[in-house]
Amino acid sequence: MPGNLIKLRFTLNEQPVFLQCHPGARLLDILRNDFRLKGTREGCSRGECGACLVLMNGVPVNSCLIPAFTLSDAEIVTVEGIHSLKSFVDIRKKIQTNRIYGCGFCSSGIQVALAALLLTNLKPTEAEIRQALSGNLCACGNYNSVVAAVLEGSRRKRRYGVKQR
Amino acid sequence: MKEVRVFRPKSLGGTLRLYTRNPGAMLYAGGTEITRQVQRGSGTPFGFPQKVIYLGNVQELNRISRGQRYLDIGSVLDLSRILSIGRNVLPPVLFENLSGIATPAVRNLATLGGNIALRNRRGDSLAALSVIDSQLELRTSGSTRWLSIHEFFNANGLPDLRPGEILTRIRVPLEDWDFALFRKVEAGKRFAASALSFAGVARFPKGNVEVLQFCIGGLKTPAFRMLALEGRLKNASVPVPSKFIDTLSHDLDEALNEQVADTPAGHYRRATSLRLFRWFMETVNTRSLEIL
Repeated sequence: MPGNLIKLRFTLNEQPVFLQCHPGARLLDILRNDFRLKGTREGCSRGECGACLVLMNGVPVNSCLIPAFTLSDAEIVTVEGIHSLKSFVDIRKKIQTNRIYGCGFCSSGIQVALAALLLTNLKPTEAEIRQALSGNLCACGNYNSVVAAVLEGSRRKRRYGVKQR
Repeated sequence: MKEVRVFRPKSLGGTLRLYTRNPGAMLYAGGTEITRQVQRGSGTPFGFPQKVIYLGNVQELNRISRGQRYLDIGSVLDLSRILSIGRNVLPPVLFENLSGIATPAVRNLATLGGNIALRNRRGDSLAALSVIDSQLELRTSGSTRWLSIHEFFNANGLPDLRPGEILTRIRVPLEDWDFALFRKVEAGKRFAASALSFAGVARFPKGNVEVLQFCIGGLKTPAFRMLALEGRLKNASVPVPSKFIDTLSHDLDEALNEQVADTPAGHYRRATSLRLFRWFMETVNTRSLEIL
């Protein structure tokens, strides 16, 4: 690659990774091109649509707005991590049980946004869910079913006191 | 692809010395505005200038401290962390303001210092910070100065930063208000700076106005306050008589002549500013009746 390169070390889906790249490379491109993690989508590239959401140090961020030089020692979790890591098992079950899927474009961003919410609050209110999803554009207008599904999951959990399968 | 040299200092002293030696370097904190400007498309790195100073690792700029009378917010603290202090500690007008900026994911990156010191557009936090008399700490490697929000901008509405100077802290007074209100009028585009923002606070113990302050953002002056009008409201009885509100609205209308252009957008800003002011005064009256 022409231009100067920097060496980076960060955690990606709980695995330490090392990378040499341009300091201005976008996290979105690093994930999709260098690590072949295609679940993170590219939408508006302006931080507006939420299709490229990933968890960075436990909070959701738009990977299209993050240059490589800010990644040193960061902990990144992508939608693939949410679907495979042990530490997300509760959240994953909740997402899968309640069939929170959209058209395939916005759904990964929505799942990351919900994972970020459920990491800190396993029984969110409707307002909290809507607030968490306020950065995700869904052209299908699927919001109400997503909110209803998360609420239903919380209700079932409260009723039976056990996690649903 | 051009060379980009990124400095990642860890101390404030080191940052200030670095910035003095590299005055043309770009300061980078949250980057939510910068990265939108330097996007070069899919698969292409951001088009940063030759030198970038990344402020995210500077401990002194990432702190928040609470005194008895004020809150000191580090300039590179992201908006979500500021909001996490809570509605009960943050002044309500500032809480309302910050929680309405962009989306949760962008608020996890965007910084308050960046919102204030943007050169190419007006941040949305100016009206709310100005109405509660917040102060800004600006430092170079050899000096420190404190300015209010309106002193921070020059006649052209641009941040008045000296060479090598960095916005380091935002001091927010922690006062009790009987009433606080913030409203933002969107410009249509989701991430465009708002067309107009209005912030107002008031304290009216024992049936008289002790303090009533309001600020309009998005006009020619980035944070427009009318201190003379605020002074006239001091000691006025609440509810404020409607005739008095009419007189004040008229005076505000005249003052807005210098603040808006003679264009459709200017007319809209003027009309909306007046409507927001009148609505603020009427809401103060309603609130005062509830309290008294």
